[in-house]
Amino acid sequence: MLARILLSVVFFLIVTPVALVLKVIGFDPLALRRPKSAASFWSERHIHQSQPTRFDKLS
Amino acid sequence: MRVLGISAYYHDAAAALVVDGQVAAAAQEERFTRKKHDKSFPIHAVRFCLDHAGVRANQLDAVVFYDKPYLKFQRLLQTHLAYAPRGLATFLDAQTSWLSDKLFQRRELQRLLSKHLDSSVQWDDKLYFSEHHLSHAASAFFPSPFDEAAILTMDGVGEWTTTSLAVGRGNSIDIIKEIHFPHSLGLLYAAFTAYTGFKVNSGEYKVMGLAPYGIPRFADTIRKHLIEVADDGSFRLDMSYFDYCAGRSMTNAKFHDLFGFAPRASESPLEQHHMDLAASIQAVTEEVVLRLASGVASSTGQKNLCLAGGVALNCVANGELLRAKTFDKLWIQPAAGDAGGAVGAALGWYHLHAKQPRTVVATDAMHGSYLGPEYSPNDVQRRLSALGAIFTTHEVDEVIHKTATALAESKAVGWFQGRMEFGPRALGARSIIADARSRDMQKVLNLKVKYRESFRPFAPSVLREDVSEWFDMDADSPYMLLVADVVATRQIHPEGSDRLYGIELLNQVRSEIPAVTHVDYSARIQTVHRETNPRYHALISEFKRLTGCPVIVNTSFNVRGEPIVESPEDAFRCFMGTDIEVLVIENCVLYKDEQTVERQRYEGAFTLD
Repeated sequence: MLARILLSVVFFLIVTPVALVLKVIGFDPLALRRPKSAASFWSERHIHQSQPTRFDKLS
Repeated sequence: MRVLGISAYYHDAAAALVVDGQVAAAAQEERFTRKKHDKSFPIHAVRFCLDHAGVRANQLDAVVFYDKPYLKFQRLLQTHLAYAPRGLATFLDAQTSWLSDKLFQRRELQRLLSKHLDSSVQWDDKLYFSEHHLSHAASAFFPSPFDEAAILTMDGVGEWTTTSLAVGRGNSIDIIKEIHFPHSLGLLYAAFTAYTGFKVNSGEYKVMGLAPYGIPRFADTIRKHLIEVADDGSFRLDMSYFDYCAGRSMTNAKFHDLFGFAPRASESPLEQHHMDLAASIQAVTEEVVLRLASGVASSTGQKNLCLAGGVALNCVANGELLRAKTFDKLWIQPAAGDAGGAVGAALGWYHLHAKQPRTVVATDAMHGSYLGPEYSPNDVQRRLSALGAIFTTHEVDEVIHKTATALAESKAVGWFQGRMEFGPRALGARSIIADARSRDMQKVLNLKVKYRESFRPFAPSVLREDVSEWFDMDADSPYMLLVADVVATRQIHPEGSDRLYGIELLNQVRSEIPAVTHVDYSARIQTVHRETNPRYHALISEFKRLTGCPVIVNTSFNVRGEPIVESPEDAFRCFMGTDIEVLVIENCVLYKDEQTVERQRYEGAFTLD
């Protein structure tokens, strides 16, 4: 229960303001606001990749 | 080299062991724990794999987890950042679960491996993490019969990826492009699964089975509002209709208003518009899969296509793909869902990380998917005796003759032979089989044997050499992943049938093999091959000798909500709890009317799926 209260505080005091700021500067990680039509919705590989190799020891 | 692959914590936990590039053993955890879609750490499956291959834990070169939990966590966080201030409830649910265990998966996996297998091993040095769609792609390509192929993976979501295109050559795989969450064909289908009152991640089959009862009158609405498909088949969803990013449901009020119906409550009566919705989403899915495949063909120039990921279990779409001839050849991983990620993780590490060479097997390298546990005849007899079962034992030929005779007498038979199947389908190792020619069999099997919804169709097993005489297809479909029509000459068109609609179509005889002919004359075909399952092949051959028909009904050996039976004990329990009349386990034959132990009430023993 305590965890949920703390997390709620985090959600409103950190996540929400950060989200609003990011929205203003055009952050769109889920591609929710792409132009209406596109020739292709494929993304080239490695956009969300932060690790250099595929079989790494990092989870 | 010995590599253990593990898939867990999302749905369908499984383990697979690769020894020198060969898949030596693989199984889903649910079969051992008897909990359908069990997602917990698959310790029983791991133990089975090691025991079966005679490998000790300290002999493993690597343990490979099928995806990257940290990237999933990152996706969740970014999703919340995109939706806040909406989504508090799901934020709390997700964060409490992630902060308590999922985020520290590496540590947790090491702890479990030490605790359950061998605490003297430095698991830290051996533990690797693949990627969700790379695991799918590896499971689709490395066991395939192709030296070179395009690979298309489609599912709900992995870390970020929902759809990926790769090219496999020899022992390498190059991922070329991807479509990312929340734009997902699997989740779109799941949204309709939930909307029509079925369970997400298991009810998708029912939607597919329901589709032929309806007409796709909502397909245009779906195309116009929910999904935008580019010429190359890539797509994106209009997320304003969906709730799965920040909410607890798949769909929202805007979605429900679009179609004009409230979501169907689970187990409430199925109405015509549910069937029409099923037909519509199925039609759109087939269209997108076909367009994706054409795009893949033109951008890669490959002649062969490998498929995996949950959407690849949509065998109706696969059948369309085969008939479209976009590719010369098609191979689909039998465990296309997340369980198969265990095989892909292990094979992927072996070829891509350890750079070991690959030998292409002309049929394929999945051994008919018979990769699970087996029981010797002596062991079976001992176990059955301990249960108080009354049985007789026979030579193989006699077992086959007795079984074929029982089938020809319209009896439902439990058939338990050899190694258990890996993946969601029963393929003649843990199956309930019956006479496909019988007009009442579909109804009897659904209501008295499987205790499941009456609309659901059954699939045929047919001898590979006879498939084109009975079905409009001449290809291998050993894993029941292709749908084709019964040939026109064997179809029967009932008087006035074209005026019927929806569930009225049920229980009409539409072919010489009505028990496996769906209302649209289609059938989900398993071709049976002498090379991979000689005993099952011999059984159907004997049935053909007796009746002239090389087709039988094959459904999984379980009741609704129960995992497929694994052991002789599971099989006996299911036999005694249902209207299965004959049970054949290895060389033991049991008749229901000869049993003396008290019958158990079995219906309702499992949570409905």
